[in-house]
Amino acid sequence: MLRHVLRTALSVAIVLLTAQAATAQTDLVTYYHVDATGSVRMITDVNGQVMTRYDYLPFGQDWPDPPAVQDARRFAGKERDPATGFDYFGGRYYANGSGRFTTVDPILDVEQAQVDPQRWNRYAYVTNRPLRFTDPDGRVIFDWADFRRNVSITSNFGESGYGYFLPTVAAVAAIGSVAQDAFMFAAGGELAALRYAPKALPLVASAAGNLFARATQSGLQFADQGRLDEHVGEHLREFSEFGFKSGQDYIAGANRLVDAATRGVKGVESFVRSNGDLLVYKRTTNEFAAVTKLGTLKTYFRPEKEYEYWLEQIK
Amino acid sequence: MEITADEGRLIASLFEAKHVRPKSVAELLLGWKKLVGEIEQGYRLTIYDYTNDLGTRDLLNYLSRNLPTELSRRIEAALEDADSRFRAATVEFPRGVLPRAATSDRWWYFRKPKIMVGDLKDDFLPLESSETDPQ
Repeated sequence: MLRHVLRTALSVAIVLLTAQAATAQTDLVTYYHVDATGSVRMITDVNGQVMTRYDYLPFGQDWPDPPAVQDARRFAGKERDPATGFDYFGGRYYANGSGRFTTVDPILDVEQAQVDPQRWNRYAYVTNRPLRFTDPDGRVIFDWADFRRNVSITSNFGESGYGYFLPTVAAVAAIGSVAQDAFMFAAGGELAALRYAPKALPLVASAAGNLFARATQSGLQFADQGRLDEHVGEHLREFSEFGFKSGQDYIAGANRLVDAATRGVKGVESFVRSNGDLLVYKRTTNEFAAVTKLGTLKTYFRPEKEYEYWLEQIK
Repeated sequence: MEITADEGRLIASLFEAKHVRPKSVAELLLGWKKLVGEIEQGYRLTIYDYTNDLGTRDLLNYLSRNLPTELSRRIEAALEDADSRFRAATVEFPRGVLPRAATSDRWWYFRKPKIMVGDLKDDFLPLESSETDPQ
């Protein structure tokens, strides 16, 4: 049996691959060690002995030469095709030799491209800034540095049209399901492992802090009791036809709405503001919620102007 | 403000055309005055709540523009006091409080409360630091 284990600065170790074998006595466990952008830099055995090292030029080309021990997972944590040498990013193949994708980016955010002209080159890899940015699936640029600073997905990710449902680590923890796969792999490094073990999400809680754990255990909450009381006082009566009678009903309603958005339930729209706030709206029931990028509920109400309000918020 | 049954039906039809649950003029006026009172004291909720509450004034504006002249004038008259109080409790904010600026005839989106407290104060910080970046 062969097991590869990813070990990182946060000590998140997840079994990535388990090959079935007739006996378990001959398990060979190896560990991936990745850098800040998720590139595998070293593989060690259970004793910490280095089995192989990888170095790359900024755009992922091997430097100085391909290593003696070849492993599929390489630059940005992506699998390298042995036949072509291209890196498989999910949506596209990436030619590390030229630092370009082999096909055009299927997503172009015109508004972002206007302020960041590098984005007009739809073959370019992460707008030619590979030391800071990664590309989780060949369709979106992910600011790893910003992620580490804020423990949240960046606005780039949200505005791309790809990450609307996954604004924060805390929110993902709160839902405890769905697309951790795409989300976590986007982060590279420590969190990349979760693509292979979504249920291991609580392991990351210790790294992301108490907020993360709180969201996991009790769902999204207001920042404090005072704010909850203010919002309940202002909005509870709007939900009388829902049968809401208490602050608990109100909180539960907000959590159901946000959860529906994270699960991609049809008819529940979501949008991430440039400040990181996740906005959610359900037109059939005229419910609106806003959640901060750290997973704190900001508000939950039924807009006066209904859908027109939503359209004004997401313009 | 007195509304006849016929006027009430006309108002309801206007809301139906807008795909919004019908509300009475009195209910909207009350909501607008309540918001103005809260702004005078210091509005504490978020910018999402604030822009939603401003929507009450939008709906009154919508009715005023689409109802017969005589009824429209009555609504405008009923709004005068609260509007002047709103102006007094706010200052000009050319950037506007919506992600993309509303049309300039909805002037209430281009003013911000003089007293900034609670979540609204925090939510306004990025708006005030950027003239172009949406909320």
